[in-house]
Amino acid sequence: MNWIDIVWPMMGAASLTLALIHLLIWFKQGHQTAHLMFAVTGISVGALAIFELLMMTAPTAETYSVLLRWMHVPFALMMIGIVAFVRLHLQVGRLWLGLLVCLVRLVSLLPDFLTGENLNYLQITALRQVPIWGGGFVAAPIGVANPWMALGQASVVLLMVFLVDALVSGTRHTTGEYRRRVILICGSMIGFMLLSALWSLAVINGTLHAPLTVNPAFLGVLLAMSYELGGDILRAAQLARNLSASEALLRDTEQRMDMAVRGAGIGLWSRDLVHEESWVSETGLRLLGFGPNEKWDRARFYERLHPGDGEMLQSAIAAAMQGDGEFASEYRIVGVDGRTRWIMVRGQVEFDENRTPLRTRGIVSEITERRRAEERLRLVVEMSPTALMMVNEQGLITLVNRQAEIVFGYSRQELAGMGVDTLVPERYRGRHVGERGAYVASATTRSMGAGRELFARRKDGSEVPIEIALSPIHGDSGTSVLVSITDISERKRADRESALQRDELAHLSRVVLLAELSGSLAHELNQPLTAILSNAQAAVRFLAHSPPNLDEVRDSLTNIVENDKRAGEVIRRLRALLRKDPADHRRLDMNDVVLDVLRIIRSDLLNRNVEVVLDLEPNLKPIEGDRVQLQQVLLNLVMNGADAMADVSASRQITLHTHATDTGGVQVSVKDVGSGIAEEDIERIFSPFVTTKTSGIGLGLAVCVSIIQTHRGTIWATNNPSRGATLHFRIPALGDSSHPVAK
Amino acid sequence: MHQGNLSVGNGDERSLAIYIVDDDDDVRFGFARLIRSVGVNARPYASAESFLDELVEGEPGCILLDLTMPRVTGHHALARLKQLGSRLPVIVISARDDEVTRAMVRDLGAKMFLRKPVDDQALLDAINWATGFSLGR
Repeated sequence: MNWIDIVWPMMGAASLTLALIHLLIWFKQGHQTAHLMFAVTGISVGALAIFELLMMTAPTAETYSVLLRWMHVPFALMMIGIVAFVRLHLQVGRLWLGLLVCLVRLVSLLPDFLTGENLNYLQITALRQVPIWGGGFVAAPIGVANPWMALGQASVVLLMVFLVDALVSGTRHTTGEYRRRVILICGSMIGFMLLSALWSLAVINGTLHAPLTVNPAFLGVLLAMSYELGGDILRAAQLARNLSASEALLRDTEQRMDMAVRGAGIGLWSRDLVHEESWVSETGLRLLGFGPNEKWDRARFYERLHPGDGEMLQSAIAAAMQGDGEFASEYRIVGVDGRTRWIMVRGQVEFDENRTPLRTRGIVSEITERRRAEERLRLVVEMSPTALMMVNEQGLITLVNRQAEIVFGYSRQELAGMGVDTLVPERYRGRHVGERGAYVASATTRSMGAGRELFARRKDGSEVPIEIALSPIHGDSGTSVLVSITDISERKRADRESALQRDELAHLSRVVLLAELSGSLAHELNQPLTAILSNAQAAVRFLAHSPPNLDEVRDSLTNIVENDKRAGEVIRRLRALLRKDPADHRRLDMNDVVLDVLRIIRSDLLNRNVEVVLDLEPNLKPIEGDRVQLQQVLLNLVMNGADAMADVSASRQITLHTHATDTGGVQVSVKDVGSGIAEEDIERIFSPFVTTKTSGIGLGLAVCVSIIQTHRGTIWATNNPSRGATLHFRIPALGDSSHPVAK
Repeated sequence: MHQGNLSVGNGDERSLAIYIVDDDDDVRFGFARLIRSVGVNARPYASAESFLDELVEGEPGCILLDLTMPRVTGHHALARLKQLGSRLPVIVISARDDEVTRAMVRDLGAKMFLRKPVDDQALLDAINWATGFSLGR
């Protein structure tokens, strides 16, 4: 027993173990022939180890000889295994050279079995016990060499040539990792085989006291091969790890993507145009009206489209195939639940190099809410009680609503594309064209034709009064103008009506006033009539004198004429007050109005023992107003003043004062010395139905307010410092528009 | 002045004085002309104050008094005359004709109330009745 007995079985066991492992790998993975070849090589090397051990301990020459003969079989298998491994795994080396190596080695088995005792010896005559390092002896043969041994040696040389060639071609043609592997495998094989040869020479020379063996060298070859294959396995494991990591990453990304599109309610879809296959994501199916368990069905999808929308969608896709490949469309889906939903689709067509469409893919999302909002907005515009129009920079109408159709009497088809100037009455048209251009140049939101009355020309040629507001809308194609048109004929009518009612009320109030004044008015009329009658009868008597007193007759007649005029004037004034004419604004001297009023009311004031003091500023500038209505105001104020002094026993005095205001208007003040106005009533007395008197309905001052307002004036009351009150009103100067005209 | 148409009653008509008190010029002058046309002296006054200032008692005559006048009205004048103890008869001539007015002027001592416009004969009859003369006959 020596160290050989331990090392050689270990080498054999190691070889066989490696062989078994790779056999198992080959068996599991099937197609990896390199592992099978390794297994073959490994088993062979293991067998060699066993043969060598048996030979080193062979008891007789005969045993040794037989063992040597059979040892050539695993040796041949080992060489074939190496060649096949290099070819199959590294894919280097010349095929014919490899085949030649295998052939020569297999052929060498023939002389091994047929000539002499084995390939090496014709006859082994004896065994000698050779001492080795580390103590002990191994058996070595002595005999006659077999000349056929050259064939075996040739095969080993050819194997060397094959390996060197493989090494050279591997290093020449490849780079990097693969090149390193070729150098490692082929290089180590060559190295170990040369080592084996040197070993043999050294043993034969007697320099090396060791057994004559090949096994350690080939075990090295085997380890190199194993390292290579093991590296493969490691690489595969690494790859597998990487793969699973990237798979996880991919899954993660997919999940995130899925969450995103789900969250956004976006459905994904694609369609393979070559194989006519479609795929739609779960969200997509739900959006397109498919139930939870329904699968995608193209025909059913088209069935569920709102009538007419399918053609639109298909023409959009067809246009995309002709054009740049992108398309977008909006259509309605009637779902299984019967709801109609608006869906937006966006997609892209993919082409091959010949522009044959291969596939379409894209997204779908629901836009029902947006559509509803748009619809609501459209309805708001459409149903707006104001007529709305969009007019572009060229003055063409681009959008109208229902009310615009009504106001202008044109249908929307007629209005669309029509020049907006057509809707302006001809007499303003030229001016309008210019103003429209100026507006676009400095577009701001404002009303049109400030202060002017505007009219629209309807289709039937009639005109309607309108108000217009303009708002610029800046867009890609220049500045459009949103025109809001309000038909104000109804308002105008209402204005006229209320003016009429106002006039009527003023008239009614005058009639009431005149009824109060009837006694005084009778007096005013009686005076001239009395004078006329007296003069006429006096004239008759003067004519009867002999001779007739013609001077007196002439004077009588003159007086008659004058008093007739005077009576006529009274009647005229009365009629004016009783007439129900609409207000007629003319230039007036306010002092004349005051004197007019005094003529009417004079006798009434006399009856009431009221003295009138006049304080009229001479040369007042004329104002504009309705004479009758201003008389009415003054009459009211004077009579109120007289009424307020009913209980005054001392001198009853009304002062009428006129003066020019700072702004060129006229102020009239009617001052009494009566009871004054309670402070809490000083504003209230101008309200309708408020009266401090026992008679009257309390409309007088309210009507005065209304009249003064239509004259753009103001009316107010103050209490006098001493006693009584003063009522004032102001009428602005001619052309002073600082006060708005009340309508 | 020609006085041919003057008929004489129980006095001398030429010394008659008919005071006309009316603030309205046209009415006053009309009455004055009518009085002149029957040959009697007319004394027109535009206000009660001026009349009362110039009134001379003792002459035969009468007063034609308007009621509606500024400051001193016909009522005031009647009251004043009554206060002065005037014996001149007063004929009130007014456009205001109602029961209250008539009663009031009667109480104040007016002899007669005539409503404007007044007929010449009615006026002359009233003067004649009040004074006892026979003007215009």
